Amino acid sequence: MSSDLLLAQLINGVGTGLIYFLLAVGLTLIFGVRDFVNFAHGAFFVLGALLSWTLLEHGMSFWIALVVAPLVIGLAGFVMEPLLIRRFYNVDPAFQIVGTIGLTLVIQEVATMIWGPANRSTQPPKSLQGLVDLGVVSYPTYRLFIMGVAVVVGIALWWLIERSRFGASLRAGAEDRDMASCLGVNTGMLFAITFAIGVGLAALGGVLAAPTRGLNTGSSSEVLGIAFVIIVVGGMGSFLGAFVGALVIGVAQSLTITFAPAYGSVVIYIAMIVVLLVKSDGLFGKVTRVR
Amino acid sequence: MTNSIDRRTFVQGAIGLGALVGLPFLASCSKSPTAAGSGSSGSGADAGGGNSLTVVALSEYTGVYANLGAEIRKGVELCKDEYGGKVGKYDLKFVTQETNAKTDEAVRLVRASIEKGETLFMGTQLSNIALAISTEVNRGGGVFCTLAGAPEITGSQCRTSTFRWSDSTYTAGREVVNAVMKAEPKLKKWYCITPDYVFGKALLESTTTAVKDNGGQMLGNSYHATQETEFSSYLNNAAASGADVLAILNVGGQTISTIKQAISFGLNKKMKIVIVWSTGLTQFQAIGADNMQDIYAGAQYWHTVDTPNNKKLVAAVQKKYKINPSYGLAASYYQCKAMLEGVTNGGSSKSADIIAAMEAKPFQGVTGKEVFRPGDHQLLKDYYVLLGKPASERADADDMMTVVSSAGDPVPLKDAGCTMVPLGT
Repeated sequence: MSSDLLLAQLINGVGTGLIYFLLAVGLTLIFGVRDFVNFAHGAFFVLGALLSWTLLEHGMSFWIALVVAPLVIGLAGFVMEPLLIRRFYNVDPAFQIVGTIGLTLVIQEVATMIWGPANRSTQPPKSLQGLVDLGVVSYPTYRLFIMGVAVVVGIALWWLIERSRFGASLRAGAEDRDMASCLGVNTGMLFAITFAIGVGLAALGGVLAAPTRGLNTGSSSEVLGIAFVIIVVGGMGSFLGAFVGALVIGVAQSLTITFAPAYGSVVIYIAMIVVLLVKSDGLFGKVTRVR
Repeated sequence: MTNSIDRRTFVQGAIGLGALVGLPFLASCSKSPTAAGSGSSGSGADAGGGNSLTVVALSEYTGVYANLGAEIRKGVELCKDEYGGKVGKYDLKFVTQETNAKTDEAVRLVRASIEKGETLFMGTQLSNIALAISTEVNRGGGVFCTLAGAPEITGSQCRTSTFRWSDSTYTAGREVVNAVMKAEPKLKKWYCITPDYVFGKALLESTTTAVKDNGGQMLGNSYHATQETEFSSYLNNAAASGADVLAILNVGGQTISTIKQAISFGLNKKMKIVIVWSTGLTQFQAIGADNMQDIYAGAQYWHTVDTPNNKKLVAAVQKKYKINPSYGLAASYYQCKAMLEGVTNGGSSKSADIIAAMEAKPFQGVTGKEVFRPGDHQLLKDYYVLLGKPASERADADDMMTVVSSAGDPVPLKDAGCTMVPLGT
């Protein structure tokens, strides 16, 4: 086992972790604000990927797709929240789960009617193709770009939640909705915007993932599984937890594959079990919740 | 907040998710027959024999396997168009059924169909499901033609009722390695990325054997999970191995992801990439013609193959669907056609007569002269090795591969391990 391979796997683990963070951050954002687990998260990821495919097929650039697809899906989420999602907030959590799984199935079937069941994949823009020499290892330019987007998204969300007036209102609304309303905060609007941002981020993940893999309308469960593991490891609703959890999972997976490839997927769940045994609320479950 | 979700509720939800996925099955269990073939006039070794026949096309039309499922559906539709409502003197019906990629669901559907006296079954790309269907159809006295790849289907678990249209993993591994090492003799050292299930292990075994038989060396293999989508770390292992060839042994969407990630990591510049078991045109379209350039791919079927029946098929598909036929479409069309020709040639709707007619003589198939070998019911046909063309050589968007070799090298019957389980047992 060469040290170069180990280093390459470590770097790749960080890269994979940051991609995973991008997949999970929308899910943890919505949960952190409204204690609502959006089981339809993976479906919005797939919608983002498929919409970007359509835009590229119609001759638009990757950069336009990167902006337009998440905005369109986010807008759909903004409309959907008051019409459908809001009805699940104050009911038994089991209804939330069944309701969003049902939503996933509806989105999946409608997407199949529109795009068909075939695997779709897009190409990264020419400017992001090729490799960057990092000294010990050459790494795909496009993956470095995704990592950069993940970091920017992370910083932007942190600022939005922790430092902006919107974030202060959001945290107040999440802590005590009635009190915040009495103080003039339009909590309904805040939650609709949060849901829109959450599903928009899922779509952004889809747009960015589409050039790296084959996706079809049934791919939502693939994303959902990894996103859930990350938010459980990091601590449900914890923004920092999602970031650290994604890096832990990415690196653990990458290093395991180096020595025992067959256990590359299993180790994700082993890591989750270990973290829960040591700290039942996840790594940052109580310390840095959004609210 | 009274309705907040804690970790326990979340885990319960995850269990609920699993339960919901299984709900259709649970609901349908209440309607399923209690035993295979019970109370049916159509069960057992004397099954069939009525005035009507039904072709039941079982496959995965939704979910992660929907891509090939959609092709299978098109092939069945084409067969339906050709035969209409009659085969010989018998009325003919077609039914498509969704297995949801679950063996228990497939078994339930087969049992229910046999209860209704339906005896002609086809489809499924998944080996574990094909094996389960094979068991039930044989027990119920029907006929089953599949495109699944595991060697057990015509090997250790072969059954009288079951025929396989596709070449086996044995043939695929050998033909691809032989062709690549003949075309590029310097490519001696191989590394594989393989899905960790029955099909993948069988393909790895045949590929490894063929590499060694050709004087090459298998440097290593990375098994991956069934639902894996992120292959970058497996690719790092391959790149560090010093191999000349990266052999990709997974299928469908996973192959697309592996190839795209391999290219993004520049592996196509460092080593030759070989897809041992591709699903053909639709898969290459998703990967992209430029990405496929200089990549070898094993294929059961390719639409430019110069045979009379392939030309007919291409014309029919272009007329009906305005596309070129893909592997799944061609395979399902010919599975259907093989069984219905068995009805015509056997002059009977009894399963035993249809089976006897199917294994009796060679016929003109899509790849040329083909025959179901009586000893194990494996179709003897060519397996193609393709090579991605540069843009300058492509006549049209689908003309992205050139045929490097075509040969059929099935596992010798004495090595297949097939002891036919009699019909009805």
